[in-house]
Amino acid sequence: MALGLRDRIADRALGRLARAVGDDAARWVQSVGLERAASLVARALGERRGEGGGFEPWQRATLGALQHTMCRYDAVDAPLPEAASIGALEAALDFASHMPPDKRGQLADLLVLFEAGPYALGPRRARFTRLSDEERDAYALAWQDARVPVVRGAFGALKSVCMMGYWSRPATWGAIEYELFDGEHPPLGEEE
Amino acid sequence: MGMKPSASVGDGGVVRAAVVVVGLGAGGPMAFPVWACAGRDVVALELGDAMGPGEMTRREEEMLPRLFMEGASRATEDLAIRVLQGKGVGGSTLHNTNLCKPLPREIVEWWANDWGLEDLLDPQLDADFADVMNLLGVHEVPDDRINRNNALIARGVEALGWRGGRLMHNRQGCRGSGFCELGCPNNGKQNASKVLIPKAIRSGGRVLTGARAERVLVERGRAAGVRAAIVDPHTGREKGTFEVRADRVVVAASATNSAALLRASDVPDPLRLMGTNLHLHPGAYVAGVFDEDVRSWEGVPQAQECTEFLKLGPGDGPRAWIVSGAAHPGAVAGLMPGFGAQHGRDMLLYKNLAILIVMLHDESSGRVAPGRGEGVHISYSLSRGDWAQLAMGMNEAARILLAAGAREVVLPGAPPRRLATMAELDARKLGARDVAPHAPSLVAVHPMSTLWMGADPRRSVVDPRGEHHRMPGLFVADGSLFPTSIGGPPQIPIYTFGRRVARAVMG
Repeated sequence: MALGLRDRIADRALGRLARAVGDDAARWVQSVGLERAASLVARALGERRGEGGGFEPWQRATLGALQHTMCRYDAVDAPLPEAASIGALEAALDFASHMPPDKRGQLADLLVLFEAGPYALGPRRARFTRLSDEERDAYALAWQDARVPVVRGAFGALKSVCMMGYWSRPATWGAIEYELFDGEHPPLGEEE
Repeated sequence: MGMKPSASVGDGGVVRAAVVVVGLGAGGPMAFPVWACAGRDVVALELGDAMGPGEMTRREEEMLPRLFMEGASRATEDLAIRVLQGKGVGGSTLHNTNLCKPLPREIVEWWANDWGLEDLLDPQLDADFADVMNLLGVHEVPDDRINRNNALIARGVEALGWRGGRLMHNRQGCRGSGFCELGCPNNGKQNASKVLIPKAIRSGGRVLTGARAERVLVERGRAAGVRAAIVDPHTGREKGTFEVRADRVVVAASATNSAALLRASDVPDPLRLMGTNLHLHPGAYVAGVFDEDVRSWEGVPQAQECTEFLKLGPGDGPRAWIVSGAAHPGAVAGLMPGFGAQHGRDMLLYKNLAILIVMLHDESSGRVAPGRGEGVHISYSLSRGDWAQLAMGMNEAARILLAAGAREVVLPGAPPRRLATMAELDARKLGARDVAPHAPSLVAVHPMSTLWMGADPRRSVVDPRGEHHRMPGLFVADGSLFPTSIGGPPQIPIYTFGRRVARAVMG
């Protein structure tokens, strides 16, 4: 896919940033702090970072793409729906909206780094949302199995939001035979 | 006044009382009616909202943010341990699974010997535990309420000839819906919001919800009240501040929030003890796949334990408490290893899974510092010894599941191990080096010990009665009081020490 002028500028800026950061992107984030790192990376991306605990549309797209990667169950022999078809992203965003502004801000900052991370971590210099499904799988695995614990932790935080959004949708419950059980007993202590 | 949102006080408002209690989890509510019934003018502050059974929707994505601090996103600084703590009128007693145990004798003796808490050896402590358990209607979970998950675990423990057994709970009206962790829709818990707080309100006690304590007020070296933010419980938005002026301040906002509150206040702490010594009981799950349907989310979730690998007192010994567990799909999916196709195949086995939780009686300790808003900073890393204990506990939990007939067990290390036989388990069991932060995912629901009691002001934060060593009129009435990890469910000890602190406050 041909890149537009804005994308080419972002591509060069991110390339420069990735070279400046060197091999150890996680250490760089730890040394400058998540907020500052996200601010610099967002600027290089040519995007707004998302202030005040809010998510910019492009960050929502990143979360949606990550959720698609995590909940891509088409190889599973069961009627598990596509995340995008059941409002899973909206549910994940709604779940995150109840976090305090600081925590939402951290999540938004993690999405900045996740979107730009392929420039530093591979598999190729492109934004996460522009990778193929297979490339996204490989990139997500790199976060999940990262040598640096805090990267694994960041991935875990993103994963829990994605999974809550997907598996809390009733459309997924039939495949796992889950239901909102009412209880099968008379009220304890009142039957005696 | 009864119960009102703190917004009713208004920005800049001042409320006067004899006693102000911060936090309505287990400790505060046990003390609250003691004072109210004695005619003391008492005001309780709670960050969260009051929620009745009709508001417990059984939906994870709705209830987790309402019932847990920081929208259920609280975690240690390195994100390695999710720390799930309750908020709302009733605090963690709204979402806990009703496990009830008095403080074990070994722990009592340890504290008496090492922290100068000889008073605990007095028969009064046993009488207090008995009173509290009677008040809350504690009883063994009856046979007909043992679900398939718990029955399988009992079978495994029995087959191995290990120590363990049926747990005691505080339930009345329970229909076995299995939604304990999301708030009971059937009002089946004999918890603080049902048993204690209404009684205190009927006796004249006042509750202000949506009140986030920011500082303990200090005058002439004494605690003089609390300044709090007025917070919308749904949006977290601040709408001003107010003060409660009182002669006695009782903090009962949990081992994280109470410690953070005191550290944010002008409370003397020359040895920088406050907020240290944090224990968490971090826990990991082990799952067994059975041919039969288990449906662990239906029925009473936690009714069986294994104590074979749990030595409670000081000194060397195993420190793994193994207890049955269950969760609903969103939480299970977040904890289950991996993502994509293999994750989906594992989720299809959800109804066939029996689940055990391995909870550490942790020697590791961390610290708490104030954060912004309702946030706190929690620093905590497992010691090498605790990683070894966790690995050991997970191996033995897997053994229980295999002994119960599991066709496969999943040990969520890095990478997860899937084992089908005892021989395979023996050959490929986890060692301390096979577990690390984020593999397995760890969850902690029992923070404690950050403002611990003791006789010596150089080695403890509060005295044996719960009053701060260096700040008269300031009391602690939650799990912060415990000098060590207790190696079991803390709700009954917290309720009981809340009652003892209530007596101390009354003088």
